Amino acid sequence: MKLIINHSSMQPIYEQIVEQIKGQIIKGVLKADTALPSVRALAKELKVSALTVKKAYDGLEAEGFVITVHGKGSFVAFANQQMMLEEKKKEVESDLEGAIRKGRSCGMTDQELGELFHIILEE
Amino acid sequence: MLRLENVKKKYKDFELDITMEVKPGCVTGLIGRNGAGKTTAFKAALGLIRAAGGEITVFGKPISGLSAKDREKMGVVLSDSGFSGYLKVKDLAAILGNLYSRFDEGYFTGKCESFGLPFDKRIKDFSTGMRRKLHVAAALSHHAELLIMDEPTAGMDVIAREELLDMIREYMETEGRSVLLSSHISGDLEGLCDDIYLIDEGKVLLHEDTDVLLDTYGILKVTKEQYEAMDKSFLMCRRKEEFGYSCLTGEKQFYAENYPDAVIEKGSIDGVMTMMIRGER
Amino acid sequence: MMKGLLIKDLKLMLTQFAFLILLPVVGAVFVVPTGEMSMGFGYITAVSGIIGVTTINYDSYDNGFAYLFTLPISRRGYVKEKYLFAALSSVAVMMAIGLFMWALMAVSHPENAYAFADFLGDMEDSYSIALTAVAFMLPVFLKFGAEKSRFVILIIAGIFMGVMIGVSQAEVLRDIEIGGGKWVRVLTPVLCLAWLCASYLISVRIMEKKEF
Repeated sequence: MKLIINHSSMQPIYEQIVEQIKGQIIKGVLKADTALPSVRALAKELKVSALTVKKAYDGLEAEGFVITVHGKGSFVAFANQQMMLEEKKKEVESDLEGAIRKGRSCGMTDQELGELFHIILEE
Repeated sequence: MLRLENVKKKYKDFELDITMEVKPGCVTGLIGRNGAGKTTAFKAALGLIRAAGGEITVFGKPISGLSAKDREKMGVVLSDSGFSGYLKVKDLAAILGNLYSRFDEGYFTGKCESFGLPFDKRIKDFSTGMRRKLHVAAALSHHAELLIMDEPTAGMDVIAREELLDMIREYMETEGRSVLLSSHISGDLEGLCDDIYLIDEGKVLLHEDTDVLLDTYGILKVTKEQYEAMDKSFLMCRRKEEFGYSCLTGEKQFYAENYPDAVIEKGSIDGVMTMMIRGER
Repeated sequence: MMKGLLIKDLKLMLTQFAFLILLPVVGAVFVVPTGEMSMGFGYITAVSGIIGVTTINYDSYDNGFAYLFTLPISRRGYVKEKYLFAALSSVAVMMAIGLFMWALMAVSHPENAYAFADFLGDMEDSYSIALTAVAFMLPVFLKFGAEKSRFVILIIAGIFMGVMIGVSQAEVLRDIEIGGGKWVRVLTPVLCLAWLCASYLISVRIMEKKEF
């Protein structure tokens, strides 16, 4: 599995792993029922602690992307369109929140923000 | 696997008082300054010194009940002690084979070769790095369940260090093993350990999962004014600086969201350690 | 465990190979010019006693004890092996040098011919004395470490050698043997054994208390 981790990024490593695996699943690079590498094998490859990888796998399982079978390992769950859509929506929401935060911090009012939003929508 | 509870030991200059644990299947790291008590903790855990108080349990047994057979399940690397310098590597194979019932001679000689260790030279003529590698090879060659390594990477160059860390990762791929290691080089610990104990002056200052430390801890660098205005509930300690204050927090996210102007550095073992030792609460 | 330690000590002893070769040569010096074995015995006794004990020197070199006790050996086992090794190496060295010297004497001074049975008997006495010396030295070495003990040991070795020479010159031993008869033959090794056991127990206690 080709994951690239940036150790100096502000983004938590755990998040990077989760995101990249999720991305691969959504894009179809990782097909359903594919076995993910064992926690330790991936930890070795990425040079991170095994616990970090385990938490990432647990996180993916909580979100339904991965199923862990005790004794056998973790496998890609069936990825469906609905899930992809959910993911994308979540990303949009988070981006919007970021933009709003920025606007507020430099003094824009909510009204100004709303107006800006509509202008851009119409472009 | 290994548990130290309220283990106390008094020396002239300092007093050790620690509680720590290495869980099965985990790589636990110990970091601290020179003289902080790392080696003392190791020696207590190995039964080389007797603790004045507290309990030490290894493989579920109290340390006083540890037999020679139990010790076969341990692989040890010490920072200041090793095989008799008058022996040669080829002598060791025979000796180790008779001390450990699960000694893998092929693995041992293979690793020595790949490390470039001369088989016919006396150990006392080895460099520090070479000696270190030899002892790591010996510790890994008998299917131990618990590795205890005091500064295993000391004296090694970058490439050798990576090799060693990879060897430990490979070692951990088999289930039911644990590692306790200490290092000055926090980079080694960050990429390998599952959890970390920070020790200073004989006491545990901090115990945290590595990923939590790297992901949610952060160091804020703020001016005096920014500092005064801040919500300090999640700050663990602070240090006076030229520019104002640097502060350690265990909730980087909180400050990133609420004070987007503040400079926040990612948590690192070195950073956290410096702050915890030098900072004021 | 025991085998591993024995191999270690054997290999360490063999590192002194050059020195070991010298021993019979020096022994020859005692025998050939004088034509008798008496001084030779003192020499053999002193040497074989010390040889077995020197491995502790190697163990303590460079703080080696700490690592040694993380290996699968018990404190008691370590002490046991030391005594065993001392006993074995002493007898080996003693017989090797002794035989060499005896043969040398038989060849160079056939007139002082020395029956093999007598030779063995004297060897046995020497061995008892050597082991008694070892039983003194081991606890001292273990408690005080090789460095400090060296001087003390040298003195003790010197005394023993002197005693041996003096005693064999005065033929006191022969007289005791003839006077005491078989009992002396039996008693000496028994006393030696008893003393060895006491020394062993003392050493075990010393090692069990030690911290590294």
